[in-house]
Amino acid sequence: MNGLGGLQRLGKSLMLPIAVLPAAGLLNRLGASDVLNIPFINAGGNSIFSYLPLLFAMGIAIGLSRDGKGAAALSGAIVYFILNFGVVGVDKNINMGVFAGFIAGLFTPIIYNRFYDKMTDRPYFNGKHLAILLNAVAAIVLVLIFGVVWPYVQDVLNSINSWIVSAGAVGAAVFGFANRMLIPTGLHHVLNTYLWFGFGKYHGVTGDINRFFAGDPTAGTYQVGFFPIMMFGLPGAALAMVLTAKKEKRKETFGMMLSVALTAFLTGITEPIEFSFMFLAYPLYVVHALLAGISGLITNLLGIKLGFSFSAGAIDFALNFTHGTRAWELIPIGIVFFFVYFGIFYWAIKKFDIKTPGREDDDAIAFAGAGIISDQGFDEEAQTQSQSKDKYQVMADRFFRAIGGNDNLEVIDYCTTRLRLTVKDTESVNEKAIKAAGARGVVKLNQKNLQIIIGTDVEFVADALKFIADPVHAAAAAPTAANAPDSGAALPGTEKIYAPADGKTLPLKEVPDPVFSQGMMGKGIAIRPENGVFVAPVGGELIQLGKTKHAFGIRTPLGEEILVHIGLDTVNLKGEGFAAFAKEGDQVAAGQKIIEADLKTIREKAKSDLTMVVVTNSMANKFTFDWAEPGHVKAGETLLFESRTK
Amino acid sequence: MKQVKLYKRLFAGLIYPVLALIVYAFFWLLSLTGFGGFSGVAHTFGYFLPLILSVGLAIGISRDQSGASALAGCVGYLVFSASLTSIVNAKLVFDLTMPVTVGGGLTVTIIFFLICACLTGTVAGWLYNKFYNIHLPDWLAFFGGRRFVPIITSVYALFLGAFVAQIVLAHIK
Repeated sequence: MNGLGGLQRLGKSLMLPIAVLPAAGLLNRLGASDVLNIPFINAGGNSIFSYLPLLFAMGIAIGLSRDGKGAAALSGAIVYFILNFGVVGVDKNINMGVFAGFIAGLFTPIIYNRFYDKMTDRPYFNGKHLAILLNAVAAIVLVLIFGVVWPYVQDVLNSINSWIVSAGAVGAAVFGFANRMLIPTGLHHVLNTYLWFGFGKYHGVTGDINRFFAGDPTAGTYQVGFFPIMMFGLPGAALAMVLTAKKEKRKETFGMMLSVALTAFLTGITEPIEFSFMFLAYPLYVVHALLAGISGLITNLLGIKLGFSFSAGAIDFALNFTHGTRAWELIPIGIVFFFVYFGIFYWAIKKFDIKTPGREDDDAIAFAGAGIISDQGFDEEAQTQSQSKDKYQVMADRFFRAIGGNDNLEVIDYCTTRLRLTVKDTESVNEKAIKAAGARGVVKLNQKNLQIIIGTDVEFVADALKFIADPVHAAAAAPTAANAPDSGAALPGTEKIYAPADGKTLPLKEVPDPVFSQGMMGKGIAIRPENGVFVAPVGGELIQLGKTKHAFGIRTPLGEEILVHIGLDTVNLKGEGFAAFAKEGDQVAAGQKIIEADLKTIREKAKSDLTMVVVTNSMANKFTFDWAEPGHVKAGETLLFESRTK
Repeated sequence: MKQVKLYKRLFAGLIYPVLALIVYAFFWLLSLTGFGGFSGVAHTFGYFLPLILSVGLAIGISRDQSGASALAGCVGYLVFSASLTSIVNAKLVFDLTMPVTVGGGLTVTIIFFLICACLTGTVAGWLYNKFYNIHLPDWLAFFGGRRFVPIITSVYALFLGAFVAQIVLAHIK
């Protein structure tokens, strides 16, 4: 793991425990004496804040472990506990606070990742259990090191703290700027964590957020500046993007911008807006970061204080309002920022003709959403596919192929809005295809690290991608896929697929159509047919045979879906020159005649008579194939390939 | 692959508290050396066992033993105990290493909290299986899926704690 990638995984790991904070904040505020005054609700919320280091230890251990299982979390919890109470035993003046959680979380996976996949056949004492015990012993080393070293670290931290305090409003401004500038790399989480959870002290709690909820009147310095930006400024930028969009695309742009602006306003999750201009207009993004700094400066100079449990959205604003200092002043400031953002964005987009969403040239595919790269003939097929799978699976399928499959893909991770992938080589990743599949942006950080910006629903794409990429994981998660009609039926075994027509076979790569040659339809083989008789290559249910009769699909007893596509661009013949001898829904036997085609018509009116036999669900990685040598084949007699379930 | 049977997963989940007991014994033995670093752990680790039990059960019950279920088990126990503590003794601020005595001394207290941990762990695991793939509206989607599980667990645990403190404990007394 390289340095930058490692830091990024750390940032991402913090997401799981941080996601609990809004619940903690909500309970803390609702139960507080100035709101509903129900002590037990307030206490429940507080307990999450006070044990945040423990939650961080578990979250980081989960994120940095290779399998993300509960055993890693548990091991992290035990290491945290030993470290935290061990050092206190050595020297009772030590208080490691949130750092003990960080160190335990970083330490645990070193041993865990070495053992978690050993002895998996023993359910009651396997590598994971061994790792937990070894980690507990190894934690003694941590206790010895930090028991001695930490008093000195504590001194250094104290001087850093007083330096930050003396920087005051300027410090908040620098933080606001740096925070936004780090967003593209995802490293802002690491910076935030120190200021929000480690900095300062009030009645034994540390961190700007923790102190705010513990009632420290000086807390909120490093949070208050985000409210005008997130609730007002960025929605202003979104409005500018709507009004500068092309007329015919304005409605579409409005719908998209409304949802991302609402997300920013209510929850303070701003990445969807920020990514819509970050790469198109980097100077505009720098301006945005500067404005975030200015907002931090102004709000602090005015002495306004307000904190949040998660981010600076309206929900946190309303909940913590009574707890802040003159928080209402944030609204007029915010309205000013709304117009400043709107003005700057509107002017810059028009002046420099920035291709923000809704302004791209018509051939651009950045806004296409889940666009479909295929010829017309497959729209029908693609639609049935996307109905049987959910949209996340379809998206993940496409990403997987654009990245270059398991040959290139090494690690799959995700955070708030993006997939964070480690690959062998980012150069071999097809960026265009990823964007066409519905990504909002693609960042190639360096040779190994790739980020794909999806949106707040990234987790489902990541899950689907992991499912596709990892056959072991796919097997473990099989019950999830049981809802999909085509996945449950697979039985272990093998299946023989025969030639559907007489002719000569050639590799799919040589087909003059990228949809087939790049394997977008799945794995398969092509045949140059010699006569017009096409038979079922395998027994099964005829699941597809449209009016155009240029292609048919069979679902086999093993669950494979095999498509025979006669000719290229033959969909445009609209059935001319084709005759069908079976109908959709029939059970057919291998070698049974399905279609008779007039090859002469096809050769004259369509692009080619090449016939493709592809396994359209081969991307799900459930089968392995043994391919026969290319050569002359006889319909229903010569073996094309043999499939095996994994 | 078939889902591993619930009782088997449960047994596998119960291994974790046993491992924690081994760790506890190990540090207790080390504390005989008199070194503060060891006794600091040994003196407090016992209070930690209910939390491990809650986490272990949550992992065991969850359908795929994911880390989010472990975190939910932890959050569940913390919120439950804090809620219960504040009702039993309004002056006490919840501290994991000083659970509130419910009458009958230390042994009873630890057993009581172990039973409570079974409750919170089971609830956390059950909630994981129910909500691990929940889809929320776009603007809340960040909190959907597995991240939703610790959140919803904290709400359940809060009221479970209040229920046990107000109703169950009151009747036992």
